[in-house]
Amino acid sequence: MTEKFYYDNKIVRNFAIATIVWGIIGMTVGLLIAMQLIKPSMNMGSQYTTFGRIRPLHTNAVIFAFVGNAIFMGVYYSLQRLLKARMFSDALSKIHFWGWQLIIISAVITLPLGLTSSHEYAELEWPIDIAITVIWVVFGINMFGTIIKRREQHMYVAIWFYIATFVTIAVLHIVNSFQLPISAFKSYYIFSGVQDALVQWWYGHNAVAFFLTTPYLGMMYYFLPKMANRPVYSYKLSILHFWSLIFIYIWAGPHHLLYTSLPSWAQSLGVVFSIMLIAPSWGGMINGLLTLRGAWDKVREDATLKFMVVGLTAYGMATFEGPMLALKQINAIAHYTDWIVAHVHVGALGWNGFLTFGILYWLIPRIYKTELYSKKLAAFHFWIGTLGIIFYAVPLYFAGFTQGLMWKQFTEEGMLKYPNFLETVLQIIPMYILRAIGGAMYLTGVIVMTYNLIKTVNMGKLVANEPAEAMALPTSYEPVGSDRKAHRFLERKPMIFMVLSLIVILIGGMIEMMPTFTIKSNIPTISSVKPYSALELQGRDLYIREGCVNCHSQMIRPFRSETERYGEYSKAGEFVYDFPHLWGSKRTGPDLAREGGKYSNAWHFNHLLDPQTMSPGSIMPPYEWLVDQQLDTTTTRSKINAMRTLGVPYELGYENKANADLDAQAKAIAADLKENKVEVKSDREIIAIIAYLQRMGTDIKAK
Amino acid sequence: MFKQFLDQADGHQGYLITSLAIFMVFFIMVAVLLLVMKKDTINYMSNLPLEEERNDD
Repeated sequence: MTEKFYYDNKIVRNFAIATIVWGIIGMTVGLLIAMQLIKPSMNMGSQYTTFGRIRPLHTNAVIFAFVGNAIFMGVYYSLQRLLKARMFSDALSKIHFWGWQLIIISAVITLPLGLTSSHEYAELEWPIDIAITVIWVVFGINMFGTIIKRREQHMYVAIWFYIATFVTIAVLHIVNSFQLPISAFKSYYIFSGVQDALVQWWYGHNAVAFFLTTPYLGMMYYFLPKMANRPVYSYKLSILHFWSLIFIYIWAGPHHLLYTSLPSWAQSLGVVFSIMLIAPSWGGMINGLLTLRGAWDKVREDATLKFMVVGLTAYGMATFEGPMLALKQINAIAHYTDWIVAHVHVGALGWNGFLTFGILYWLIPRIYKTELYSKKLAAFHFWIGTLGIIFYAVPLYFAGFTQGLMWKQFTEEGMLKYPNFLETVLQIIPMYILRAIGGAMYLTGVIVMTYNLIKTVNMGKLVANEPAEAMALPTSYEPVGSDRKAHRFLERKPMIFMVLSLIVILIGGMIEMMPTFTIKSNIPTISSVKPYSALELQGRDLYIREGCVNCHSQMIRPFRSETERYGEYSKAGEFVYDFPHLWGSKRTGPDLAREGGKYSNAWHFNHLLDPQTMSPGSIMPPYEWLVDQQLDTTTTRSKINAMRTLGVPYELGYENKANADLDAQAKAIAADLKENKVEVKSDREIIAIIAYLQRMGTDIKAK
Repeated sequence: MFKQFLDQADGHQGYLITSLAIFMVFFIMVAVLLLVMKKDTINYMSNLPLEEERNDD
């Protein structure tokens, strides 16, 4: 029996608008922080617009707002058509849409306020984490509801990718959000140091895999055959690379922690699986490109397909580069440099960006029953976007090699050739200028696209409910009788599938993480490592609030070039009281793991107030507000209590005298500053942050 | 290069070997599944996205 029904195009349209709006906002913030790296005055003298706080705003906006909304746009469009069914519930679609936008808005508000958990790409604080969980579940119910009421018996491979995305992101988000809240917008992760770093990068790496990759592969498998009007090159290859990809990806996280204090067996495991990852990744790229076999004449004329081809090529380049960067020898040079920034932007601008644009150009005219307003403008967007990517990535690769090699260069006498870190920064500023130009070009393309799409929309009319018809699944209308069993089995199939993918992704995570969490020998304790004093703990939280971790690592790798520059290399046991770890992933400024005692309190005071006075040419922004703002000591007690709950051995009753202890330490620092002709009240935030900086790495520092 | 991986595994080679073995078993299972899949099914599946277009015509 043929049934009539309607596809919901309105929700697709809404997500399309959201991806464009947030894309422009996220990329504009990106351009702003790129300029801040050239001229510190671009920080605009306000704490709310300073690099450390708005760099996470940029990453969150482009990942979860731009790409996130694009995923939902693609999923809601393709899922309905592949299953021949309207979305399960219009109400859930609406809740999903508005809930997601509210989460993004809360991020836009809280991140500049400095409310951050400091885990990279998961900076949002615990109430927002809960909201994300709820909305993600709403999305899941809506998706599985649609799958269950489908009129197509078979699930196309795109849907497998969507299911894997849903399941894995749920697991990653939940495990990476185990936090102990101490107030409405402040919490501590329950793991510290090495374990926290492992969880963070297991999450971080797989957010790339299951938020930026698998949903986009699913979209590629639906939209590319549609655009080229031919089936995918090899369906078997799509199945093989699907299972291999989700199995292998989950193991590769530790390649973000090579040469750190992570146990070396875990590092090796990460490296091996990272290298293997190239096979399933290229399986997807090749399958996509070969789908266009015999259709290359279309690519020449059709900007939509051009975007897809360059997007797939960028995916191929990024997934070749990833395994290469996971090789220890290459990682030793590339890690902490702009090479990594270039690498992720080839993926983000090329793969995610270009696929999104291709799909928008294809989809908007279709749901508005019209033609694209201007093919010329689309072609212009394609070229300026491609040039933008090149202008962005090439200078940063150059900057990365240059700085990575400069850090490691010794003179013939065996001394560091560039002992002053700043010298290596000044060397690459011209590259930063070129990068900003590349970013501006890319953003220009997006604005041109927006104009083109608005014009297109004005020419047509939204088909909010697109009529369609299909045969009902025979078993769905036999609620009783012998078919019942079969029907139930069919219904369960997507669930079985979900459980299967869950098992596949859990294997890797468990084998890697369990030993680090359970075997004590993996993190040898060091008896001289003591908990932070109350003032240092408060200072550490200010360090987190200001996002210092975005530019300063706290992890000295065991290379002579690093021990010469920074001091003794970092040990796993040093971080046991670090909730959360602050190892960082980029050195725009020098490592701070052994900063304690290197400079005087007065040096730090002047440096924080105006970095250029102490380091002429420095690109670090000034932090004047730390002098004006009073340290909030009302939280000390709850912080100490929370730390004790997490296993930090503060003596019993310390929470009662913590603030007195804090005062005494602050007064001593203020007195020392006064001796050095710096007048500042002891209750200011800057005192706490100086206390923390002076403590860093001193527990096992060789005198 | 491979020797290096094993050396770096710090006497925890078991983890490496086990992990790779689990993957091999899994990969072979998927490969076998693909080999026994019928050509008709494959054709049907790969044409799913194009179906509605045909309906339109």
